[in-house]
Amino acid sequence: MRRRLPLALCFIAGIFTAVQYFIPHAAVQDFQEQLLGWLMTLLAFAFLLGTVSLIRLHWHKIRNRADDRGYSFVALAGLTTMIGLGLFHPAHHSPDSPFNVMFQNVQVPIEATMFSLLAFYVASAAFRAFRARTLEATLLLVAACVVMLGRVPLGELIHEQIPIATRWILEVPNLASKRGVMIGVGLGMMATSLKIILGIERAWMGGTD
Amino acid sequence: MTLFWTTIGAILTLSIYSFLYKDNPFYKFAEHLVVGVSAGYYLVIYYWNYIDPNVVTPVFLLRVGADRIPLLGMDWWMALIPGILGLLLYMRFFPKVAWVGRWPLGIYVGGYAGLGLSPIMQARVITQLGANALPLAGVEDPFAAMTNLVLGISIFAVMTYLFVAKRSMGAGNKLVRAGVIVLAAVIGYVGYLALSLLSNAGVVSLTNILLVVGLLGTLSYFFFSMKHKGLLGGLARVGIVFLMVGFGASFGYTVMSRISLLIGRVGFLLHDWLHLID
Repeated sequence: MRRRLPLALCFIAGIFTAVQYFIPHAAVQDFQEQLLGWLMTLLAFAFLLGTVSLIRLHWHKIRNRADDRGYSFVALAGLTTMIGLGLFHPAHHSPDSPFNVMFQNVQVPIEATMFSLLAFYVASAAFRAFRARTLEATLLLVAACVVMLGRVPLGELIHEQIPIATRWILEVPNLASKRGVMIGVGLGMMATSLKIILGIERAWMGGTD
Repeated sequence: MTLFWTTIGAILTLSIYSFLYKDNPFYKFAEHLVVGVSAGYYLVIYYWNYIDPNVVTPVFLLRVGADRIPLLGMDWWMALIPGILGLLLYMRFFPKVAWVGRWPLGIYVGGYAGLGLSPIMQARVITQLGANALPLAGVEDPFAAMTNLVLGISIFAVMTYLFVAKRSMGAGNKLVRAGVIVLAAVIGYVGYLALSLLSNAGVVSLTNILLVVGLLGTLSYFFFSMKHKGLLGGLARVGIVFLMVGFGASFGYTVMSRISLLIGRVGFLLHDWLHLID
C-alpha cells in the first residue's frame, strides 16, 4: 500500500496516457479528456499545497518573533489581498477589477525590473569570466559580441555586415547546436518518462518507508 | 487613480533597483511583496480554471436536481475523484499517514510522463531530425539529386563505421575501410562545394552542410557510449566548436533581451511616471 500501490497507479496512468494516442475510440478519448481534467485539477491542488507551505513558513517566522518577521507580514498581506480580491470580489473576472489592477501595477513592474536587473549581473559576470584563453572561449566571446552588436543600431553603424553575420550565427551554427541539444534533451526526457512509468525511477515518492 | 498606481509601480521599480547598491529594506519589502502577490495571483487563476469547474461547481452546484453534468456527460460524483485525490496530497502534513499522499502523486507523475512520450518524440526528435535532413543542392537538378542520394548513403556508411563496425569488427575490416573511403569522398565533395561558394547555390549548400555537420558533431559530443577518440573524437571536437558558438549566441541574445527590459523600465520611469521624455 505504501510503495506498490503508488507505483501501480503511476504505471497504469502512464501506460494509459501513452497508449491512448493510438486508440481513436470514443470511449478511450472521452476518458482521456476526463483524466486530463483530473490531472490539471491535481496540479492546482499541488500549487495550493505550495501556498500552504509558504503560509506555514511565514507564520512560523511571525510566531517565533524572527528578526525579519516584518517582511513575512508583507508577504502574507500580499497573498491574502490577492486571494480576497480574486476569490471573493464580485467583479474579479473584469480586466479593471482590483485583482487585475494589483497584478498589473505590483507584480508586472517588480518582475520586469527583477529580470532587467539581471542585465547588470550578466554583464558584470561576463566581464570577469570571459577570457579568450582557448579557441573555444574565443569562439564563444566573438559569437556573443557579434550577436550583441548585431541586435542594436550601433552594430550596423560600425559595419553593415554585422547584422548579417548575427543572423547567420543565429540561423546556422547556433541552430545546428541547438537542434543537437534539443534532440538529446528529447531522448533524455523520453528515457526518464519510461523509467518513471516502469517504476525504475522512484525519486518522486520521496522517503524510504 | 492612474497616477497613484503608476507611482506605486515606480516606487517598487526603484526599490528593486536599490539592490544594485546593496541588499536593503526597500528591496526586501518589494521582494516579499511580489512573492505573496504572485502566489496569490496564481492560486486564484488555478482555482477558477481547474478546481472550480472540475470539482466545486459539479459537486456543490450542479448536483442539486441534476443527475448528470451536461458539459462532460458524467455523473456528479465523478467530480469528487479529483477533489479527493487533491485533498489526499495534504496528507503529507500528517506524518503517520503521509504515505497516502503518494497515491495522487503517482497518478499525476505517471499520467504526465505517459502523456509527454509521443509529443516529445514528435516535436523534439522527429521534427528536429526532419528539419535537418536538408538537400545539399537544388533537387530539381538530376545531378544534384543523384549527389544527394550518394551523400545519404555515405552518411549512413559513416554512421555504420562510427557506431557499429569499428567496435565489433576491428579497424582492418573491409566495411571499415569502405567507411573511410566514403568519408574521404564526403570530405572531397564538401571541398568541391566550398569552391563553388561564389554562386548562391554554393552558399545554400554550404549552409546546409554546416547544419548537418553541426548537428552530427553536437550529437557526437553528447554520445558517451564510446571513447571520444579517432573519428568520433574529431566529430565531437567539431561539435564543441558549434556548441561554443551556440552558447555565445544564446548569451548575447539573453543579454540584449535583458537590456531591452531595462530600457523598458527606464522608459516607464521617465515617460509614464515623470513625463520627462516623449
